[in-house]
Amino acid sequence: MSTFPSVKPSTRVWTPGARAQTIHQALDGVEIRFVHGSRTVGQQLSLSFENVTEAVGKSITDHYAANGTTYGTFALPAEVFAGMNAYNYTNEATNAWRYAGPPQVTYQTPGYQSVTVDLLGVSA
Amino acid sequence: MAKYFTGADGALYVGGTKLAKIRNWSLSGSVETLDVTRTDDTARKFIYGRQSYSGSCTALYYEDAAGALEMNTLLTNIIRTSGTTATATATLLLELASNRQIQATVLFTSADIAASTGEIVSVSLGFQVTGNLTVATMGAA
Repeated sequence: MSTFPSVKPSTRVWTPGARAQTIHQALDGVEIRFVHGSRTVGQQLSLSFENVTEAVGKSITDHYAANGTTYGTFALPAEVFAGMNAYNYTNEATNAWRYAGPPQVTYQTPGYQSVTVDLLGVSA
Repeated sequence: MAKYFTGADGALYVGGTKLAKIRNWSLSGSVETLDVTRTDDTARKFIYGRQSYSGSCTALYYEDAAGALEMNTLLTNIIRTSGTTATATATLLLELASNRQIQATVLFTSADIAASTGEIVSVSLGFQVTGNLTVATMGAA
């Protein structure tokens, strides 16, 4: 399993996931849920890297390509959580991450670009 | 010899021709900043981005002895009956001395002609620099 490039983001948006479960609702409205696992999955992490150099931007898109685009899973380095003293609850050791879609790269000032990636937490 | 400059030192050239009836000119330059703040920074951080320049000048509305409008190169892209050619530009040189100049390719973007009782008719023009300055000795050491 590879590791995402060690780049500090400009913004980071984390959405906690949920435990896998099925929901059965009776005609009277009573709801029964069955939990199928002990892990939380489906976390979403949106990272934006504003005005990074071409080399840094390319390291992210290269990782996306080398990772089989949205297929492979990978780990996140501490730099991604820069600014947080404790982040183990957002980056559980038992989970890995996968690209939810292709990175979006915005080219503006020569030599610099902004990259946004959306990640999905998966059980590893 | 130490020297202060005054308005009398100022000159404006369009396409290499000095315009005699210029009352004033000004140029404003700015550089955008790019935010490179990261999530562990406690203060915003920036780097330089693109430069941009714009300016203005005021010229007296003046015909030479042959009846030609001296400042027609300043007005021709604005005061006209047809659409302005998209690529029409002019080379503008602002000067305080031969070693204190700013030269750039500009687009004239506004023209205000004013005729008032008891005053000489004048034209205030605004211009936008396109691309980098081609001469910038006014900011040199």
